[in-house]
Amino acid sequence: MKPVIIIAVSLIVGVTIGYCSSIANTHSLNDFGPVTNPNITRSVENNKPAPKAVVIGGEEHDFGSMELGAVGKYTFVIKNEGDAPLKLEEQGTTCKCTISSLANNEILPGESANIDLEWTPKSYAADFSQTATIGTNDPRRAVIDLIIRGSVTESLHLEPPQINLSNISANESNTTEAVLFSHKITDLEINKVEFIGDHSDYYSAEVKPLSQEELAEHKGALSGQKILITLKKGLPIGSNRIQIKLHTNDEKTEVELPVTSQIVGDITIASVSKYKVIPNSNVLLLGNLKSNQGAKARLNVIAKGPYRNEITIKIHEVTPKFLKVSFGEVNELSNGKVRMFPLKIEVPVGSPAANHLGKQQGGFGEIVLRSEGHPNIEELVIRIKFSVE
Amino acid sequence: MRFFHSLFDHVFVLPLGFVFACALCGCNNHSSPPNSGSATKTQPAETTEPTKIEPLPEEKPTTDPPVQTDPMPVETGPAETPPAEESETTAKNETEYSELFTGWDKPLFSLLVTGRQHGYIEPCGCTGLDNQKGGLNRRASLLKQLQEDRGWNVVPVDVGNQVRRFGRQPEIKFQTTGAGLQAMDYQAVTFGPDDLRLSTDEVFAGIVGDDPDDLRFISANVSLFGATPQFRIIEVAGKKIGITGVLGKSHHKAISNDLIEIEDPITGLTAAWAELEAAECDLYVLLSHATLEESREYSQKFPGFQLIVTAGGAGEPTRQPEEIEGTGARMIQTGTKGMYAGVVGVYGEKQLSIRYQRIPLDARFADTDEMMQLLASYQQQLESLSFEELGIRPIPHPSGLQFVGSQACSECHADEFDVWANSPHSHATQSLITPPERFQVPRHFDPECLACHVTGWDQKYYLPYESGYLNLQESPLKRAVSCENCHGPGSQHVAAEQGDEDFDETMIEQFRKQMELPLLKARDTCLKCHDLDNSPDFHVKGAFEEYWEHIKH
Repeated sequence: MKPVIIIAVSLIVGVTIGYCSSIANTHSLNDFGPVTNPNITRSVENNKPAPKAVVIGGEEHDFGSMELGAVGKYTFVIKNEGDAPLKLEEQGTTCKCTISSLANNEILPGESANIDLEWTPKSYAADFSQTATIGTNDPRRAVIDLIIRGSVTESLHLEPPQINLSNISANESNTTEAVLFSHKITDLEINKVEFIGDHSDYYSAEVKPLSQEELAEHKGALSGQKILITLKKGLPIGSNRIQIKLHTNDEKTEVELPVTSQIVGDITIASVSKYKVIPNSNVLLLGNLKSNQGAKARLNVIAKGPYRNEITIKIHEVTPKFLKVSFGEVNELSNGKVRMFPLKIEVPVGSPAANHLGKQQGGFGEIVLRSEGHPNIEELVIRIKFSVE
Repeated sequence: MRFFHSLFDHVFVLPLGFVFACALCGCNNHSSPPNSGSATKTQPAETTEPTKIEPLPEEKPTTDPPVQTDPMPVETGPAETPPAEESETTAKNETEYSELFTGWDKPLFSLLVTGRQHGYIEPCGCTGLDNQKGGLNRRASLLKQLQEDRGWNVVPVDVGNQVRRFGRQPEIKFQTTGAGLQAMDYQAVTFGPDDLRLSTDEVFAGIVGDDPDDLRFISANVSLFGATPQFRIIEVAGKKIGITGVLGKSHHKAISNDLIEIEDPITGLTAAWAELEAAECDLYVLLSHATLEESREYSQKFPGFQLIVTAGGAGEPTRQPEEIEGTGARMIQTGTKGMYAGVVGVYGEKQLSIRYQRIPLDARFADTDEMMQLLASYQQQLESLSFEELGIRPIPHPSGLQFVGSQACSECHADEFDVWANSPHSHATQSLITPPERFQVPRHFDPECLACHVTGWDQKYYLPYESGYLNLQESPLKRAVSCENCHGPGSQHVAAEQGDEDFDETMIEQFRKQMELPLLKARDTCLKCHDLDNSPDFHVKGAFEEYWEHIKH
């Protein structure tokens, strides 16, 4: 008769909970209803004894912050609260977990078994999460995921770990910052900042202590220093990479900070349509076009640097003549640090056959732009590689 | 792999009566998923829509509350109280493919949810593709199965961070991914911080399709050239989905580029939401490239989004969506390295209900021709560019010494050389030229592959040392993973032993000592390449000892 009582009790409990929760949900904003996972179903006869797996103390454990190489160990306890033996089977773990003991693969009603999850972090990670999947013969839950979480912190942690200065004007200096935290000592100091690589003399650094607020933003950090890195103007156009070595008073004394920069001229062009512009050579690739289809490309002529507000750009000459070229309204980006001149280039439908694929074929098409307001840049030529059939 | 065998999970912890009672009450419970009808063939919508719920019929499949199967082998042993009897059992050894979406009816439409590819456009094949998850190929294959085999209406969305590094190679990779996403007809993608560290015009080239006015990369608070849209509204199966993306505040510091405008997330979302709300969509989705805490905050401040796809969380995404406190919104994690895809099935007419499954993109998903071509074209682009054009300049080795190649070592260390020559390390470069898997695409021009397949590279930054391998023609002696990758550059030692220089006995001895690598320290050297991603087998207990046996010298 016992199962009948269980069913009756669960009905009463269930009706009550269900009713309460349906009331509570009236005011919910999003009413998705239960989110389900797919599963293989089968029917059971309700009056048969069945095991019931309950994980005592929850299915997740958070180690908090761990050190590299430290062993994190946690014991989950699974209790059989049903009335038939509970069978457990390790179905798999993510690769860093080991199930060290599945002492009894059968747990009698009322009894418990321990499952140890152990993980030794081998790399630094802001967050880690590892799962062990335990299969059970509990008809209500075939699978239990036991999850361990945590984070692995370096004794010294640099944020960001690398610096990339993109689209920097050759005529302007630029300052960026990185922060070095210590998870070990309370009085981190940077004794020396060393710059290694070509053109490293264009860089300088200033070290400042972190405020308590800034320190608090970084979980688990005991002390920290801010490094303000300034790139002087005048670094040659193109990409550059240097290494900054920070010498500290922490036991891991040196930390490397790679810095890359892409220096651009004060006036550059960028494509904003599917037709690419070859980097640094201002060649727009329209390809082989059909006269009955034509093509529409869009470019941004971008002005940066100290003269950006004075710069004006006009179309001076277009070859071949059937190309339609026009400027749109000037836009400002990043609070006026950048000004953009949108340029529309159209090979109109019905254009005559033409070959502008290279020198042999009579040269690329050309748009000559004239600029005023910049002391060194008066002309900008966009070449167009295309043909029309 | 074993742990994939349990692709499904379900929590049926409450009394069975709860299920029954919920159904009777028309309960729309959020917090636990004891979904009575939906686990069987009942329309999921019926379980969630109050007006449609009727007392359960007196039919066996539903009067017996459906429960999850026991995935363990059914034992007929001497159990006194045998496990519950099965009326339908699915054998454990059935293929995982058949286990996908078990119990799902055809959804009204579905969302394919991905993100944080982190540059893993394909799993490295070094240790066998069976061992690894992820890649565009498999993702495309899953999508194809949903669309073609199942006839589902799929809306693919991505939460961003296609790459992890910056420079020319990641730019080409970003564009390759962009082409892949276009080929898969992704409907909405947002930006991750690493996407935004690339050169803006190269990123733009990767996101712009045939129609520059139909950009699928969106963000409520990030704009490239002021040209990328804040949101998109997609119509599918007669429903309107409003989608926007957001870049969490915690990621803003990593970006230093005037061509990218970044607003405060709340400001950006306020503007985007006003327009989305006015559009009266049936489903609102937020692609949140932010931490879990930030994503929860955005969900709570903008409770209109019913689905949040977050880039927060650890490498492995949770199996179940999280319910956001106070809003009832569901938050889905994507995990990292594109190893998983999530599928959200959307059901119902007036009121939507969802189902979710996390799918590891493992070897069961075949390659597709389209993605293979894309990967081949990626490698061809790398081949066509010189190291200089890829922004790769050889760096000096910290020791100041040069690599000489293992032939020089063999002159004295013949036995050790033989062990090496018969080990897989000796053909590490060859395995890039003629890969054992996905052999259609050679990879020996890919710096990210070369770093661990040749001699004399810095594996951390994927850069050659000044005397390291450059290419097959210029540096044939630096092919393969040879002696010096572990023992360090040997120029001084070789010169001293050959008597080329004026070194005294003490120095000769000292140089010999410098070349030694004690076994205790060797493991750390191995880990530079035998990392978790590329050599998972190296990370099980006793693996080092076993590996060492193969190359003991």
